[in-house]
Amino acid sequence: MPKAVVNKLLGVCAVVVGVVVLYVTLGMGTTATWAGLAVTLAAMAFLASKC
Amino acid sequence: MSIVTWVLALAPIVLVLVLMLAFKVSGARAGVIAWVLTAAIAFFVFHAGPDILGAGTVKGLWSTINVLYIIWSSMFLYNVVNETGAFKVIAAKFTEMTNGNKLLQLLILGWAFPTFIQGVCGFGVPVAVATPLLIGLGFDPLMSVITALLGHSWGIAYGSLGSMYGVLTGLSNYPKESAENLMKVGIWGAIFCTIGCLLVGFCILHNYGSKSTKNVGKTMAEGAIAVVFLTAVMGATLIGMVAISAPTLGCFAAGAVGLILGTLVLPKLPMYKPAEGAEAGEKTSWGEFLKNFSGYLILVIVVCAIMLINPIKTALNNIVTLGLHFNANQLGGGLTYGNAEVAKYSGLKFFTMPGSLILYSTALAILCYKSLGMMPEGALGQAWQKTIKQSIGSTTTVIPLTMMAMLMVEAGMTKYIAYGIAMVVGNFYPIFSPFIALLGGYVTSSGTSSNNLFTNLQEDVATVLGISVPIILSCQTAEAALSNSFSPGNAALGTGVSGQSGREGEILAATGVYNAIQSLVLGVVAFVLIKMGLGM
Repeated sequence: MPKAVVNKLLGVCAVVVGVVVLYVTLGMGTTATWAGLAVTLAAMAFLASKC
Repeated sequence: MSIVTWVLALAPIVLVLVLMLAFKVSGARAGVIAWVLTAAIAFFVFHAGPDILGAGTVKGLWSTINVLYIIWSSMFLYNVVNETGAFKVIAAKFTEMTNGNKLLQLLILGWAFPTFIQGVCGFGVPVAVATPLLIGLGFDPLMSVITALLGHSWGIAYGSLGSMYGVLTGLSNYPKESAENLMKVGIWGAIFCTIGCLLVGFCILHNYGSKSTKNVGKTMAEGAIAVVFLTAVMGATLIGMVAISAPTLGCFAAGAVGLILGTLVLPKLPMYKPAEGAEAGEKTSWGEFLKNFSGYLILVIVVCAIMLINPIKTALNNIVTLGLHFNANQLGGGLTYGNAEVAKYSGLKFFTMPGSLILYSTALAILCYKSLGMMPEGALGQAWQKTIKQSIGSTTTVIPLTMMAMLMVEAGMTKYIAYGIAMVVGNFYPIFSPFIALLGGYVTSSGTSSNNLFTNLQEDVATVLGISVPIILSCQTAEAALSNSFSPGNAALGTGVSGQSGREGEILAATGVYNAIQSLVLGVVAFVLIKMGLGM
């Protein structure tokens, strides 16, 4: 599998994990949700760096 | 309502367009940047708390599952069929049936055929099925994507067994007041969709002329009769189906009539007959054609069987519905906008999802091709490898763009933009009404969602202005349907199924212009009809 394809797959996996974490934090209070958003932001930045 | 807030609400959409069209930034990067900007504007300007930012983002990713499932499954089906070498035979038969006329092939397979598929199963399936067929016939991949996107769009308002029509009539009060009002909305909607159909036909010709033949005028002149013929038969069928109170089958019947009459009648017209003395190509037998086309025939049969036979559909629907729970939320800073609690957001009926239908069909197609001895050794592995390479690019584009779009909806930014337009334009509202529908379709990549967002707004404004509600609702639903060709999500779907990832900007540049023209024409027609006192 070409490296570019693997990188994109990793980026997608990171976003999925980030958003799952975000969903879990919804309803757990403001601080937890901000932390979830921070994880999602990091995952999105990772995706952008791989595409 | 403030102009600065309105401009800021619009900023993420403009940013995506500028990044993708002017700076050729990949859809994935443009989506991530726009998602960050949307979150910042939602937080600082619209007073959205972390609950709204989080819910909008999660809803965005959840909404991509359906589209991504279609992209991956249809790409796999295409690669399976391609591995058997079937496209050479399919292309030869279509060439023979259309006298080798590329224009007729394009119009029948890129317009009537996706309309027929849209009739029973929308959500991107028509694009996913028609695009590879056009490419298999030798058309330019990007031109094929744009054709399929345009070709299926006009029928969406009455497609998918009437799901979008159901949202329109379910949300607005006017059709509920009397059966006569309901019929008015249905008929005017079908008339506006027929106007959209005609525009779509000429847009397809223009696209083909500008991208392939390099002679727009000649292509438009050559194809005009075929476009008028197909519009007449498909539009009349749609209006007729609505008139006999069968709007849910309107698109299906229109597509079927267009496909049959287009194939039987158009090649016999003098202007589409081969020139005298032209050599006839090699004949392909119907048996050979059906054998090779069986992958896509199975898809049509599976889709029709599951979507049209109610007991099968109901049984499969009842097995499982997957959805996420979201609490109610509310903007801060004294703003009144909020979202209600949902038990199962955008419930996915797994066994009748379009992606699942394509997957069942692929499994049956593999068995069929294997039994016919058409599958070479290692073909499935090859098809899967190609599918991953071709689909991953559009996957990385669809995800962030949809997350951005759903965040805009959750924070009330999309409605703010629409209300701003409605407040400013006054009596010229009919001209701008389709642009509001276009905004909804662009942001959500779905005509149904556009109707969900803006049906009430359109009805409220028409009522306040004292103008025809059915005509304004028809503008909404017709352009919401057409806008499916101009949305980043659907563009990514198209590039995914054609192996053209990264070229979404080129698709949006073309379909954006076509949609602006379509919106303007529909708006002007509505304005004139209302001035004439019709539709009251």
